[in-house]
This record gives sequence, C-alpha cells and structure tokens, in this order.
Amino acid sequence: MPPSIESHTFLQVSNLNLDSPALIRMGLNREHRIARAKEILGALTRALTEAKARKVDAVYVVGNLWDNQTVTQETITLVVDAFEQLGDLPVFIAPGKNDACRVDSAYNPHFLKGLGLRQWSSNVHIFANQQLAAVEHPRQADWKIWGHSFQLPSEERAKQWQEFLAKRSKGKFDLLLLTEPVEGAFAASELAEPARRHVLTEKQIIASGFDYVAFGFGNNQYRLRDEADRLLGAQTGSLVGQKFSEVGTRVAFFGKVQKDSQGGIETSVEPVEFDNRRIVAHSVDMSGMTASDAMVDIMQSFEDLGARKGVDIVHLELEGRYQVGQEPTAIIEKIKENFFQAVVQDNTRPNYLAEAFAPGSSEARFIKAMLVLKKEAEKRLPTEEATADGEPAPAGMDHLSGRVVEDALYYGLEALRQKRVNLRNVD
Amino acid sequence: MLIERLEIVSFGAAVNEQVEFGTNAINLVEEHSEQERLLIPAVMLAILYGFDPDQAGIPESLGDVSKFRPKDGKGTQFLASLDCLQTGRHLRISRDFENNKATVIERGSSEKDVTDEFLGNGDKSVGEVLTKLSHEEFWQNCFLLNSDKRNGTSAAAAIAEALRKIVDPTSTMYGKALAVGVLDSYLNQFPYKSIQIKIDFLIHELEQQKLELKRKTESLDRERKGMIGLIEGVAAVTPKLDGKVGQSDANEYFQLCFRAAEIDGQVLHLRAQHVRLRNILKDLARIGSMEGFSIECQQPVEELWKRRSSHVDDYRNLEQELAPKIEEYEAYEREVTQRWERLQSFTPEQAQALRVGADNFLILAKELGESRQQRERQEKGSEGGQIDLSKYEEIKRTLASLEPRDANDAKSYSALIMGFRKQLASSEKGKSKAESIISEIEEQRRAKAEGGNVLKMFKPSLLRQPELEAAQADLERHVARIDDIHGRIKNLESRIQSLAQRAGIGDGSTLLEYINQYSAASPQVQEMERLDESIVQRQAACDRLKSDFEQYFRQAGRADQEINAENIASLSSDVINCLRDFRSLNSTFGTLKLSKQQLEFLAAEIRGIDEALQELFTRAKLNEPANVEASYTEFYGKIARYHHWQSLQEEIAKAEHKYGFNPGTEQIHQVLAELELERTQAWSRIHELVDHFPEIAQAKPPAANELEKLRGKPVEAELQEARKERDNLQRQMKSFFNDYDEQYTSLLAMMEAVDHQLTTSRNCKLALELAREVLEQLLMDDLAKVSPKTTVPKDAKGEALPLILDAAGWSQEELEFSLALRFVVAVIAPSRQTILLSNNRKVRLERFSPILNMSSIPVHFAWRKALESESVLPKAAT
Repeated sequence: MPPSIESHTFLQVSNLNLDSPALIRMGLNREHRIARAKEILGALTRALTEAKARKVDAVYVVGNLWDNQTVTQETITLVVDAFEQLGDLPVFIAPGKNDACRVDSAYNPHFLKGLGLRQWSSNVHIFANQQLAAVEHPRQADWKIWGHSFQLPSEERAKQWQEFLAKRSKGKFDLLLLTEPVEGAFAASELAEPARRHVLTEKQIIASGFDYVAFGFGNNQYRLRDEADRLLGAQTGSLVGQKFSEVGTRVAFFGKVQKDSQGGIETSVEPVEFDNRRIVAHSVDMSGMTASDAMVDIMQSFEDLGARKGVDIVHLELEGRYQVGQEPTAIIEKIKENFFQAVVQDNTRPNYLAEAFAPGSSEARFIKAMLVLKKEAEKRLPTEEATADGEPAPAGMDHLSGRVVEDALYYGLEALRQKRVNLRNVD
Repeated sequence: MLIERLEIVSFGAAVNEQVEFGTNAINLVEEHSEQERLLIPAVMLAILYGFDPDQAGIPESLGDVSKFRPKDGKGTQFLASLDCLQTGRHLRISRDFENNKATVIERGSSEKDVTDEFLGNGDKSVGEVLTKLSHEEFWQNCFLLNSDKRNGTSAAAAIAEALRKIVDPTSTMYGKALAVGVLDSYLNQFPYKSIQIKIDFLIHELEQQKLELKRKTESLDRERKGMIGLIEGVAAVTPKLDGKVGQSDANEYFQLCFRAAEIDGQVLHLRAQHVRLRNILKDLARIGSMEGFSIECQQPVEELWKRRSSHVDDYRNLEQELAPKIEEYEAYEREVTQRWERLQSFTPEQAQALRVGADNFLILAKELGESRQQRERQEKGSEGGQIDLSKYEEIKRTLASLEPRDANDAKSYSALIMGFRKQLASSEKGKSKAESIISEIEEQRRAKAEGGNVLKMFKPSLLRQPELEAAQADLERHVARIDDIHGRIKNLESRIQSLAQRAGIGDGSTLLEYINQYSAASPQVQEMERLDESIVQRQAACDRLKSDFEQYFRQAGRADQEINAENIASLSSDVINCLRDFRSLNSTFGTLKLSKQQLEFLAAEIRGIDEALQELFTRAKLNEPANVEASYTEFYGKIARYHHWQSLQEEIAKAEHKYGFNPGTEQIHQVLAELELERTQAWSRIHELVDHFPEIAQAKPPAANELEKLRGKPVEAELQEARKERDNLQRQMKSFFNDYDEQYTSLLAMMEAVDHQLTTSRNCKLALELAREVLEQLLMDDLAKVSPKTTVPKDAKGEALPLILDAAGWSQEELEFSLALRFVVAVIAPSRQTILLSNNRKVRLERFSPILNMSSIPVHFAWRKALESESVLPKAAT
C-alpha cells in the first residue's frame, strides 16, 4: 500500500515594491514611470488570477509588497481589492524591509480606517509582529504558516532568532515566510555592512526544521537545498525588474510541497514570469570598432540576451576608446530609439593615449601629470561607489575620484588638441 | 624697499591725495589718462631723486619741474612724500619741490628725523643713498612704462622681452594658455538644458533646488510622522464608537441620501421652474410694462370705431362713385388753374372795371392817336398854307400883350376894317359894274347911232336908257359909298395905330396886319390848340388809367409787362376769360361740388371721431395716436398683451408666493448654488461615510416613516462627539495623505533629477578645473623658465626693488594680456612688490584667483583718494 500523500500548493511572490522610487532612480521619465507602475500592479494581478485558476492552497507574499514611503492610497486599495477577489483563497503577507509593519503602514487597520480605505479582507493574514508567529491554514489545519515582520539584522535580532527557532514547537507541516536576509541569498549591495554581519545562515535555516522556507529579502532567485539536494526553501527574487541590477526574467513561484505519511517531503517550485518587460544590461568595449560595427555588435548582444525591441528596458555601458571625432553619440541615440527605455552609461574615451607625443610636449607633460594625479586619487578612493551614493562629493582636489581625474585628463587633452571639450554624460 | 604709501600735497594735477600700497600684494592702480597714470612714477622718482632736466636715461617729461608745478599758484605747497619700509625701518621721505629739499623721517612710536643719515653731505639724492642706485639705474630697474623696450640690459627691459615671448602664438605657453581659456570658457559657459551658464552658478542653483526639495521632502516626512498621532487617535476613538456608531453612521448616511435626493428633486424642479418663469419674464420683458394701461378706454374706442367705420364706408362709397367725375373736375380745374395761374384772384367787379377801363383806355388811346394825327395833319396843313407859325406866334404874343379890351377893340377894328374893305370891294365892284354897264350902253348907242337907217329908226340916245340911268345911279352910290368906307377905314386905322403903339409895335398897319393875319389863320390855330388841349387831356386820362392798371398787372403777375393798349386789352381779355372759365367750371361741376361737400362733411365727421379716438389712444399711450387705424390695431394688440401680461403677472406672483422668490430671476443661481453646496456637502459626507464605512452602503435602508422619525431625532451627544472627533481625524488624515500621494513621489523624482544633474555638474566642474589647474601649473613652469635672472634687482640693503608696470602699455589681445599677467602674477610679484598701472578694468586679477591663492599674492586695489586731514605730511615737510 503506497504511503498517503499530503500536498500543499502555493503561489509565492516577493519584492513587488509597488510605487517604489526605484523607478525614478532608473531614470524613467514620468510617463514611463506611471506606465511601469501600472504594469507592476498588472503583474501581481495576473499572478493572483493564475493562482486562483490553478486553485492553489495559499498565496505567500514574502516581503516588500510595496514601499511604505511612496505607496499611494490608490495602489493600496487596488491591492486590497485584488486579494479580496481571491475569495476564500488565503493570503499570507510577511512584511519586508520596505513595507515593514508600522503605525503609518497600510497593514495597520487604523491607518486604513483613518484614510477611509477598505480593510483587508478576511482571507488575508498579515504577520504584523516582528516576533515569529504561526497561523494555521484555514483549510489545512495541519499546515502551519510561520511568519514575522521585517527587522534589520543586528546582534540582538540574531539572538531573537535563535530563541524563536529554539522555542518553536514543530508541527506536522511548517512553512516559514522569511523576509530577513539569509547568507547567500542576497547581493552585497542589498545590505550595508554592519547588518550584513548578523544575517541568518543557511545552516541555521536548515537546522530550524521548517518543511519549506519562502525567502523574500533578496532580489534574485535563490534555492536552499539540504545535503540530499532536497529543496528546503526558495527565493523568487523580485516579481518585476525595477533596478538595473534586476536583470533578466523575473518570476513568481508556483510551489508544491508533498509530504507522505512517512514524513518524506518533496518540494518543487515552478518559476512563472508575469512581467511584460525585462531589464537587460550589457557592457560593450568599442575600442577598435567603427560606430556602425559597434552598433551591430550591441544590437546583436542585446538580442542574444533576450532583449525585445520596443518592449524591454536596457542598460548599456559603453567602454573603450574611439577615434578622435567619432564620439558614440549616434550609437546612444539609436539604442534609445530601439527600446522602451534605454539608459546608456558612456565611459568611452577618445584614443589620445594611443598617440605618441614628444616627451617635452604640452600633451605629454599634461598626460604624465594627470596620470600621477589619477593614481593618487585611486589610492585615496579605491572604488567609485564611495561617491556614488547621491551624497555631494567633498569639495577640493583632495577628494577627486579616479574617474574625475580621467575626465580631467581627456578634457585637458581635448582642449589642447581640439580647442573644444566633449563633456560626458551631460544632458 | 617696499613702498607703503604715497602722499601728495600738490604735484601736477594731484592735490591732497594719497595712495596706499600693499607691500605683500600685487597692486592695481586704475587711471584712465596716461598723464594721471604716469603721475605715480613721476612723483616717486621726484621724491627720491628730485628734478634734474639733464638726467640721462629718464624720460624728458619727468625731469621738467615746471610740468608738475601746482597750477593754482602760491596757495599750495609743491610737496609730496613717500612712506617705505627699508630693512625693517619705516621711513617717510618728503620733498619740497620748490627748493628741492628732501627730508627723511623714521616713523614709529616717536618720529625721528634721520635726514642726515640719508643725505650725509648732501651731494647725493636720498634715492641714491637709500638704494645705492643712480637715478637712471633706479628708473631702468623699477619702472616699465613701455613694453616695446627691447634693447638694454635692465631688469625692466628683460621683463618686457619675456612678455613679448610669452604672447607669441607659436610658443608652447600660448597653446597651453589657449587650452586654459577653452576650459575656462566651459566653466563659465557650461551647457545646461540648451542654455549656457556659469558652472558655479549652476551648481549653486542646483544645490539650492536640492536643499529646497529636501526641505519639502523632510517637511512631508515630519508631517507624516505627525500623522501617527492621528492614526493613534483613530485607534483610540474607534472603541468608543464600536457597536453604537454603525447605526448612527447609517442613519446619517440614509438621511443624507434622502436629503441629497430631495435636493436633486428641488434642483430639477427649480431648474424647470427657472426655465418656465424665465420665459415668462422674457415674455413680460417683451410685452413691456402694462402698468397703468387704460383698459377703460376699450368701450368708447369700440363705439367710436363703429361710427367711424360706418362713415368711412359711406365716404369711400361716395368717393368711389364720384371719383371719375372728381378726377375729370380736378383735371379740368388743374388745367384752368394752370392756364389762368395768378388770374384767379380777380373778382368779377375787377374784371368789369378792367374791361371798362380797357375800353376807355382804348378809346382814349384811339382819340389820342387821332388827335395826334390830326394835330400832325394840322401842323402839316399850316405849312402848306404858308402859315408862318413863328410869325403867328409873334402875332399871338403881340395880341396877347394888349389889354383884352384893347385886343378885342383891335380885333373889332380890324374886323370892321375888313368889313369895310369888303364893302369897299363890293362897292368898287358895284362901281366897276355900273361903269361897265354905262360904258357898254354908250358903246351900244354909239354902235347904233353909227349903224344903218334901220337901227336909226330906234333912236340910239334912248337905247337902254333905264339901265343907263340905273347904272349911273349905282355908280354914284358906289362912289359915295366908297368914299364913306374909305373914311371909315381911315378912322379905324387911326384907332388901330394907337392900339399898335400900346402893343409896342408902333405900326398900326402891322397890328392890323397881325390881326388880319391872325384872323385869317385863327381857325387853323384854334383847331391846333384845341387838338393840343385834347391830346393833353387824353394823355392825362390815359396816364390815370395806366396807374389804375398797374395794380391789375401786379395782381396778374405781369408787372414786368409794359402797360399799353395791347397788354391792357390782353389782360382784360384774359381776366374775363379766366372768370368765364371758372364760372364755367363752377356751373359745369356744380352737382359734383355738392357731392364733394357731402364727402367733406363725412370727412369732417370722421376727423371728429379720429380726434376723439386720438385722445383715447393718447391716454392708452400708443406709439402713434395720430395714426388712428394703426393705433386701433395697436390698441387691440395692446389689450391682448394686457390680458396676457395680467395672466403672466399672476403666474409670477404665484411662484413668488410658493418659492419665496422668483425662480425665473438670477436669484435662482444663488438658491441653486446653496442647494448645490448643500448637496455637495451631503455627498461629500456620504462619500466620506461610505469610504470610511463601506458596510453602510450595503446596509438596508430604513422605512420612509422611520427615516422621517430619525430626522427629527437627535443623536446622542456623547456619540455625536466621538463621531465628530473621528470624522475630524479622518478628514485631516485624508487631506494630508492625498497631498502626500500627489507630492512625495514627484519630489523624489525632482530630487533625483537635480541630484543627478548636480553630481554630473560637480564632476564636470572638478574635472574641468583640474585640467585647467594642471595646464596652468605647466604654464607657470614654462613662465618661470622664461623669467630672466636679472628681473629681481636688489638695493644696497639687498632688498628687492619695487616694480611699477604700465599695464596699459600691453593692451593687446585679452589672451596675451592674460598670459602677461600670469607671468607678472606668478613670476614677478612673489619676488618684487609690483604696482600695475591700468587704464581700464581689463586687468581682471580675480580671474587668476587660483594662481594668486597658490602664490599667496593677494590683490590690492590702490586707489588715489583724498588726503585725510590728520596726515602728518605737512608737519614733517615743514
């Protein structure tokens, strides 16, 4: 007699970041931004419709449904409505870093009441507390869903987690919605250094004994497997791309956890794409190429990367040297014409340095002086990121970055050679 | 030696002026004219070395004391002083140019005259002692007033040569300077959104924008934090309302819905009424005010109109009947009238008088003519009869001179004489006859007597004897008679003679002749006189008649015609014909006239009625009361309008009574606005309630009678208070978050854009400035290399001498000037106190501020200004 099988199906989504300012930072104009915000909401709606069609047992929203600071009442209402339309399909929301539970967040019923917005429907459960808590699935009493509201990792929080996990009473089936970072499931840029030291480890998660862990912190997909290569948890990453770091296909998971009568668990997740657009990033070194060759190469590269003309958002980094007088302006314009939105980072330079200048010439002396300065600058500020966080760069020559010195080098050479300067990345 | 101050009491055009110099700065003196610019080196040189017209190597103009002597004469001292720092000692060198005497004071806490120390035996000038340089050497090393000074070995000449090299476009320095200029232009004209702007200004603006956006964002963040209190307030008030407020909210909701529906009904009704009553008002406006319209005139008007209509009918029938005749009559009358224009005024009496007068005139004229003809004939006849009318006139005059009795006597005498002469002639004739008879008888007798016997049978002496005897008797009688008559004539002639004497002619025969002649001519003359008299009388009668005719001619409009028989006859005839024609007209159309009179009677009747009607129409205030028929129509139209007006007024009065105002007026907008406001408020509250309590909208509405009861039933005070608090909190939150949703993301987007632009601009600025700075440094190195070693001469104490440059002398291209300035600023100024004399603001030293900062050479603007009163100069000099 085959062992009886209990199964649980679900839709797992993360990091929708509805109304996020990330779209602004991408450089989208207002028109595209509004259109994109609607598309993101549309992606959620399509995912929920699909979940209802597939008759899943639950919907898990694991972190960052929206951005508390920028989400509008209209969006909140649309989300509340969308979840209500699922009827008795339970929705479990674990607030993340951006939509953390607080007094002025839409997870607070008094906030909704104060604004006259509709309250969450009864099928929606929000893990409003930072403490780990569990609720039973309304139709599958054996299935416990554990969750919490986000708290920034710290030493204290790490201790709390230890306590939570130690105190937790194991159920027949336990599923954890985890919105805090787990080692290996996020990129360095997604969490600043002090907090990064106190994140949960994969080992801790494996040891915690959950039957499935839905990770929600990172923006990219991640899967946690045990030694036997069984899937213990998965992270969908962001459902839609809203940053140039969120490239490629963005998905939600339709998961299925099966447990046989002997306690054997088999979990699978099926990634499904709901976003109509993708973000595609590419970097090209156009040294030695003519403008037309470079253009063909770039378009081919984007095609290879799956970028769809007129649909997708592309980010192009142009590197290398070009012949004097052959600035890549036309390439940039062409790329912008071909895609829904194209952001081009032009790091190319004219190939002055390839020329041989007489040792005593003004150019040679200038290049020499500038290269010395660049070396010094790069010593002082080894990474570009140090001044790329939006804060004003400190005044004075002592705080120059290598890139600025390099700019100065080329500006000076252009002034000497051409009596004019091509200012880079200036609108 | 460092120059600290120059004080001029009087020198050339300068009077009581001072110039302060920075000892560790590059000094810029701006003087527009060359004369003023050269005043500074001239006075410095004059103080240190005095005036020496024979001094070689110095411009002649600076050696001529007369050129700098004060123009206002004796009143002002020809004096100036120079404060300088020499090996740590503060000296003031003053010179009285009148006596060429120099004084040196050591300035400090106590002033000390050290003239002796610097002048010694007095055979050297203070400048020479101080610097150990001759007048010429000092000039050549310290003053550069001509950039073209190519030859020579002095420091100033070397500097001039260096400057010339620097501005040579083929030099590497020039290329670098050009590149610096290019970078500089990008910093000053940075491309930003299709305009060009100074990058520092742009960055400043962007920073300000960013700060403002940040301030707004932070303000929204703060306000959002402030909302937490409201949210907590909502949380706090919610339990107070739980379980009780639901029904209360629902009641309010339904009451508001009911009221809103009521308002909708009212608004629709009022709008319909507005349309209806506005049309009524338009009708009323079109009708105009009928207030005071005399409706009582209707009956008399009607009665009069009936009479009038009857008369008018009669009149028209009669008129129609008579029309052809009248037409004929009128045509004939027109013809007669036209024919006898201006003669119609003549009466039959006048015509009669005219006719008689004309006949008389014609007779008189005829008679006059005849008399005149007769007169003419008489006159001609007298000529044929040899009547000497002139003589006749004399006879007439002579006879007239006699007394009438004498004249008559003379005439009688003459007549008697004539009679007697006739008698005499008769008697002569009788005598002749008797004599002839006698002679004849005698003849006969003799014939008988001589003849035959037969004849003798009759006795011849008896032949015819009786006759003979009768003849003889007659002869005797006639002879007697003749004698008697002669006697008588003689008597009469004597009497005539006496009368002739009385008449003054002295000759009776003449008088007699006159009388005889007069007598012989008298019938003719008398006839002529009679004719003349007749002519005169008739002419007078004619004239009288003419004067009588004048008025008729005037009356007939023929005053211009001559009044003669023909015209009088014509006028008379015309008048008679005129009267005849008019008589004929009257007699022919007599019946017609009667009919016309009847017509006129009818017309008079109609006029009478019309007058009465006009009065009534005037009372009814019609437009044209005189136009009776139009007025009658208008009157009845007005009556119709009056009744319409009355009914519309009643409608308006009813509406005003019903609504308290006239909904057809503009007042409805206010009422509708109030209702709209109430409805908006109601719906706003309904939406608020539905928004906040969606379940209300799904609740079952109470029955109509219950709703009516609820409307009159006040809500519990405590509950009402809690609801108010809740509503207030919700409103505040809603208001804030609506604004927040609208603004926050936009602010972030703007901030992102500004931040991006700011970062780009800053990086560009840094890069451009860095490139410029490095190029400038390279340029400075090049400049230092071309600096001649002799450019920093020292004085006796080993101190660098000041350099005074006439920057106006280099006024070439700005770039070249900049290079020259760079050279001066970077190479010369750090080692020598430099004074730049400029003729304009082309010398923009602030442009070189980075270099100046690096070289620690500040800029000092050394203006010539009025000498302050507390100056120690006069005291020291004197």
